[in-house]
Amino acid sequence: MSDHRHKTVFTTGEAAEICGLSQQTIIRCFDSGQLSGFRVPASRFRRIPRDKLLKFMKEHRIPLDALESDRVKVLVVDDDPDIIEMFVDALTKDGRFEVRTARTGFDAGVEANRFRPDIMILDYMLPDINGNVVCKTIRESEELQQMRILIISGVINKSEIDTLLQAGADDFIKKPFNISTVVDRIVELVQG
Amino acid sequence: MADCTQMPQPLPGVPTSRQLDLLVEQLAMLPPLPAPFLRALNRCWEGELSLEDLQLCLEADPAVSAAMRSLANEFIGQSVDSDVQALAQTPLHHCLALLVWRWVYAPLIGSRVESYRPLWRQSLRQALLAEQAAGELPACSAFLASLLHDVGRAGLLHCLPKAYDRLLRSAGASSPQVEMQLLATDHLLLGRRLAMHWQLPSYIQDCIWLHHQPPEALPQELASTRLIKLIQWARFVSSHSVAELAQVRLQAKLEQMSQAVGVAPQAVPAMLADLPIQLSSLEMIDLAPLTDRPMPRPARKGNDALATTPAAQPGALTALTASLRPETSLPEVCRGIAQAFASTLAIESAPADGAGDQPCFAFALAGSTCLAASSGPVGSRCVRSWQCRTHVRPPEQYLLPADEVLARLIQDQSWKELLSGIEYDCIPLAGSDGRMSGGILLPRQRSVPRETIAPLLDLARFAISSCADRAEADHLAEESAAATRRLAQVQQFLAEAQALASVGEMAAGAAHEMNNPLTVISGRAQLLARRLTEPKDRQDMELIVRKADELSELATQLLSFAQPQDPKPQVVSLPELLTQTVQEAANQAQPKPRCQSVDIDIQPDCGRVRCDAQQLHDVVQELLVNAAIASKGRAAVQIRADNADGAVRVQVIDNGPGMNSATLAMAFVPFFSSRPAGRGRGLGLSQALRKIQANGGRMWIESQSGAGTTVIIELPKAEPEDRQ
Repeated sequence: MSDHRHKTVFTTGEAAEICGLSQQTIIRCFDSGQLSGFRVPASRFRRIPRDKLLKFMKEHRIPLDALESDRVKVLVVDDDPDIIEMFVDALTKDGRFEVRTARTGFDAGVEANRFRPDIMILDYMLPDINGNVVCKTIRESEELQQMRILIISGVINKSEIDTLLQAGADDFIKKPFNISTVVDRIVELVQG
Repeated sequence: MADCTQMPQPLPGVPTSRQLDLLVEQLAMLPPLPAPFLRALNRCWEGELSLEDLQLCLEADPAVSAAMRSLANEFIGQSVDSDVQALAQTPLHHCLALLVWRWVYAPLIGSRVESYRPLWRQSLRQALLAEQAAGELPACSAFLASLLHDVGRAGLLHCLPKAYDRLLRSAGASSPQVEMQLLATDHLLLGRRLAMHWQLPSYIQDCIWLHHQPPEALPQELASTRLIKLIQWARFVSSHSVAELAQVRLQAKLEQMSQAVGVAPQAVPAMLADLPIQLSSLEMIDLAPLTDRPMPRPARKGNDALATTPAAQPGALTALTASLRPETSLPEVCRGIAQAFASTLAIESAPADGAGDQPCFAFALAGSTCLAASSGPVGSRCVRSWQCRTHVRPPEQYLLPADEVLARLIQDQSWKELLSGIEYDCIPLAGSDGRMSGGILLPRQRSVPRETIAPLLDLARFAISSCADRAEADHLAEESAAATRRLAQVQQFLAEAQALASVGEMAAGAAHEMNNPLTVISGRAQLLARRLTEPKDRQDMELIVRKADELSELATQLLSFAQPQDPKPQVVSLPELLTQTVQEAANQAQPKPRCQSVDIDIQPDCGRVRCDAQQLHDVVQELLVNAAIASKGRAAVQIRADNADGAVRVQVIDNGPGMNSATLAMAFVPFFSSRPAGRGRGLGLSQALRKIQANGGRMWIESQSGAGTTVIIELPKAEPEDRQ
């Protein structure tokens, strides 16, 4: 099966593969309006956004495994519930991500071992331990070596950022941020 | 021109009030003040100044009398025949201002009225304010003390006519601290010496040398403390406009200072509004004739005659005794003694050929200063001083060669010019503590046996010893006052550092605590914007995002202002750094303002400085942006670099509209901006100053309305042994 993990738009062939249907069936559903999508401008090619495909699969009780397993696993760690909620909303809506959350450094360690995320979005200042300690602990674990760490914090001291990068963080983005920039960076880091 | 946690401007060195002696040499021969004027000054403080006192003052000098009558003519529009009538027709402060100009300022000024006019005008403004706010103090004493409190500045202008203004301009400020750095003395100490020379009443003397003292350091028991605070208040009020005083930070200071002198802060705007009318009335006094006409002869020094007229020793003794008063200064005592010996020896010994023209000298040791006065005519450098060794024991001989004694006292050979190659003998004098206190230098051909001049010698020993002790005590008092002022500066420096540290902690906390909610506000607005279809609705959401970013950026700037990065000093090639910064400024993306062109002129021998390259780059970039805004991108901006006493000076010059004095005074204050609201936060220059100070440098601005602006940075030059 092709890698659909980071795709946001699918062709009818890809949709057929994901749903386990024939391409003709997908085309019929598209043309009848049961499966939403759009045609490529100046051509007749059909395209189906990820969230529309997901909706179609849920409506027709098609197993989601093929699509779900492709999603990027993201662990959001922040002590502010509003920020966690915002990340969950933004990433879930995008459809490419499977999101879990933690509010302390300790919970972050437990959840990382359990969930094995592709990437951790980590707030620097946590109630129990600082982000650099979390980074170091994760980098010491053999199982989590491949996990990416993106630090997001309102603290902007350059020396602290350098310490974080030395402790094993892959990148730093300052709060407040542009959501699209963060999403793009997550994808880049995971692909990279 | 202040000053800031990274140990910024070097604090001035130990004040050496003895440096003053060099300047006092020039002031020693100023004519004394007429007795009626001194009496009037005292009567003012006692609150008993009468018309008769002023009438006596006018009678003492025809120039004053004529000026007063002419002034009265102006007031009533008809001819005035008598001094009494003139005094009755003009406000009291007109007469007082006229007397002060004539007898205090005019002898200092010579023909340079215009050089002194700004100082005079400034003093008049302050005097008028102090007079209005005098309350329970006699209004005339408040006016006089305020008018005279900056006389030390006039003294410095007199001693350094061409240099004083220029020195202060180059330092970008005018304060005792700057004067101390540049001249190793200040106008307060010089003013005090002038006041002592003129024997001004103690309330005026106190105001002259203590008006920069922090209010809490003024002794409560001092009778003139309230008057000094009143002068400090008048200085503060007169240097600001009503609009400036309405600003929050100045308002608090105004209230505090006004409370200390019993003035209602609400009354200040009305006082300032009245000021121009009163000032123009006082400026009706025609200063030129008061300055040009010679001083009346009786005001000359009493002992002048002794130097020229031979008299019997008892006569010389009597004259010397009569001239000695508790307030007589050390140069005057030495000169009186030298003249007494000269006149005595003219009778006691028959001078050899030409010896009659050779002056006698008397010298005194006060602390580490040796001060010598000649019996020669006035104006022939008759008072001179040197640094000398202390605690010298006097030789036991009555008479020995002068060069032997002077070489023991003074380390260098500078005393030799005093004797002009003529052979002198020295009679050493011992003080009450057994140390040498001074001596008499007599031309060798005119030396006389001890017995002949014993009474005169005893009087000289006593006079020099007691006066030198008093001069030393004065030195200590002056140094103590200067130390108190320095202590206050250090306290202020520490308070500022503490305040900045608190702001830093607060900003760090705020950056974290504000950025979390701002992230939610901005993030939610971005998510909402995706769902909205109406362009206007989307724009509104984007505005929320933009403003959240601005608020976050403000917290970031505040943090970097309060907690600047520690500099990483290295040897920096100035031409390289300046060229690179200018190129970056030219290539940067809009909307940052850009200069039309930048001319760089770097002197060949100032290529390397020691500083943090990134911080210097940031500062120059900030200055270029400011210059571009000032010149509206239409005129060329210049960057010059040259040497300045072991440092390298970089100047960024624009031909913009310049700054007025109020803007200039506030230029480095955080959050002050003269640009329209919403354009800049006013942190750029203050941040730049902190960075330069952190790198051991100085930064100041020279600007005038309509004449462009020059920002000057001074950085330590890299030593040849410094490595990259």
